[in-house]
Amino acid sequence: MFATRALLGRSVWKGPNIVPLPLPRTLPPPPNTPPIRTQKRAATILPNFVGLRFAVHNGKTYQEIQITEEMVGRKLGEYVATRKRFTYKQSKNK
Amino acid sequence: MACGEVHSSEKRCCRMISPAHRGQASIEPSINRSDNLFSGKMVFILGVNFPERNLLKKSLESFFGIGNHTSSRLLARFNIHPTCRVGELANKQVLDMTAVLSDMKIENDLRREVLNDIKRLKETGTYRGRRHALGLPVRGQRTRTQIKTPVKLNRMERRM
Amino acid sequence: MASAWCWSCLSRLRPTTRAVLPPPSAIPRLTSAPFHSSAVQYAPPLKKKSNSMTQLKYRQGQTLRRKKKKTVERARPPAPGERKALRKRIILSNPNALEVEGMQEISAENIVDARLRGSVLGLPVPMLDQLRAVQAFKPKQGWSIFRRPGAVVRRDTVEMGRLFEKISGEGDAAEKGKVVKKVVTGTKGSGKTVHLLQAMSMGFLKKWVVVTIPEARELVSGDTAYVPVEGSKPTQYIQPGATSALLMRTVEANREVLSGLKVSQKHDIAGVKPTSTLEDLAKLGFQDPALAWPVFKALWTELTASAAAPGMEKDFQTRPPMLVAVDGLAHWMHNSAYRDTDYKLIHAHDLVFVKHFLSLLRNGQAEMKNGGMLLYATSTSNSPGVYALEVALDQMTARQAGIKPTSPEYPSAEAYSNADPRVLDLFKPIEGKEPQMELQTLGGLTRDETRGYLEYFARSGLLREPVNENWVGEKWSMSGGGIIGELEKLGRHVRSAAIPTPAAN
Repeated sequence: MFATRALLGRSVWKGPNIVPLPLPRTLPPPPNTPPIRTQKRAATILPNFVGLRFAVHNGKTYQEIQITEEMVGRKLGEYVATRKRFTYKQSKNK
Repeated sequence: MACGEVHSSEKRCCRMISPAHRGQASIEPSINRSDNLFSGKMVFILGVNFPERNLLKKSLESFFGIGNHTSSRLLARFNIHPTCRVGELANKQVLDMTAVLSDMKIENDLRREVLNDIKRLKETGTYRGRRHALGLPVRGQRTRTQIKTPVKLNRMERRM
Repeated sequence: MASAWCWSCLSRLRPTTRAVLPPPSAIPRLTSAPFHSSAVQYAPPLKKKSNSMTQLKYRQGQTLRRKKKKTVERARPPAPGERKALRKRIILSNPNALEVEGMQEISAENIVDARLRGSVLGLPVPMLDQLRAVQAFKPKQGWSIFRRPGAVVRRDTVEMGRLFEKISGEGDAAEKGKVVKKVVTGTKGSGKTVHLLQAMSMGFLKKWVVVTIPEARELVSGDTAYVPVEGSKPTQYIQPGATSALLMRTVEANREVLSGLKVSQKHDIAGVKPTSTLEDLAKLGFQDPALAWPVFKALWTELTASAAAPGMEKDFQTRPPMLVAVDGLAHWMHNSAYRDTDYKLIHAHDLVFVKHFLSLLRNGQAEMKNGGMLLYATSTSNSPGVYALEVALDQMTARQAGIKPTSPEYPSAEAYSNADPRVLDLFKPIEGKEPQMELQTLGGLTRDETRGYLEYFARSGLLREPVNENWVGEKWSMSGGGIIGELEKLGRHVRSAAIPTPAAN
């Protein structure tokens, strides 16, 4: 993940990065709808995503996020970390 | 003839190296505005006391949120020359300046806004918010070396 | 042929510094015999001199130990403003320099005397205060090396003196009240500022009113207050502080003349009485900078008045001619450092003060009814490059050389050069309307003048070389053909380099 991407700025003429995603037919989706699995981390969160649940790929697994009002305009990947915090582990065989 | 004259007074010539301080007429009084014109009075601008001899531009820049860009435009807006001292302002100009400054988002308002922005990033769980909370650089800089500034500034409870 | 010299010995020769080498006449002494059997390489290596830095004692720390620099206690820094005062200080006299015998003073009579060309005329002591008041002296000029201030009389000086006589109405009555407008240019060190100084001194001698702007830059550098004139379009700006300073200079220098003249027009300025003198009028502008500009305008109308307003003729005296001297003209030809409310730079021509003095210069503009002289000098040491001004001056040169503006040889601004149209417009020729602007280019001194000038150095004790024809010729060419600033440098420089000649000479 590259946090400055948003700051470097995307050309205005391109508009937001709209990626075709398998959105549910009915809004709001009925309960027990599975989250939308996607690897499109660079997809811009559009206003009609609010309230949906996405399972965004972090490189290894799919992590679920709930889209809220404040997330609109940002990218899906911003809410799913790709790196683990470094922790020192005592290795056994030494 | 002129030559002989010169040599006869060689001693006097040599002394000429010493700086000649005594002017024929009086030395002109120095133009020293900061000393003569201004006493130790203070001028209130937006609730802050500035000494009269301070440069107005620098005084404005002491507010959080005003730099060279804004201060020079403010001066131009009120037709104040760039080297104006605080004491040279007319009363009306001080009031005008204060009125404009109080409408601007500076000082605590601006601090609050910046802190709120950071807080929002943290609360929505973005990567940037996380970096702020961890005390790490936010904009993709390397972390192997040279991260003293974020370590110092980026906290859970950021202060400004 | 085999050489008698062993080449291996040569290899041991180290380059020696010149000082160590014996004088060439001495017989070279060799440390080893020219012939030997053992090779140089087997010789024991030269022992290096023991150096404290390289030889380590047992268990000594290996870090470089240096003595810490002691903080030197410095004297207190000079008080605020003191440095500036020192920088701006003008020393007009050097008590150690020799008094030049038989040195004449400039006077109302001898300013036209062509016989005095090449001699240095002293400035009368009472006038020094006046000249100081109008800031005629500049700190970097070499006044402080002579016993008393003086300036060399050159061709241009005599010509100017004649103009002063004419305008004052002493020679030809028809020429009285004429206006002469000159733009003074010249290479660096050609004496433009001193030319202005000489003009001022003549002005004082002839009892003219002398108005000077010693640093044109100060008006556009954004260091004094500025106030927009309401309702003007494009917006004009008044500079109260600078105007007040101008009034002070003018009154200080021309007190004698101004105090003898009474107000002759009606002014709506509080505090002006029909009996007040022009000095009183000007003084009103000192106290209140807001009044400075109206007061200056009033003073100007008074000085240029040719007759009194009806009802005020009682003690009207004819006004004297005026001398307006401006130094550093180029600064007025571009944008000033001031900004308008939209943060755009204000053109210098939009400053009322500058505009007033520039409009006087315009061709055909004859506002000065009582005559006078305008001398606007360019500067080469402190000058912004203004292309339009260069073009305008070129055009003026061409016009003076007789090239018509319609001819193809007439210089004009290059296409796409963005030459400032306002500047070009200012210097625009207007046919048939007097007075016209002239260009005066100061060049070098002639050889005779150079000789007189350098003799003055010698007689002041600065030069120890005999001033003769050859020597003067040499200095004349070294100074780029008598450029006076270069001559002054040479005159000073020679003193330290001169080898004292025997006293018997």
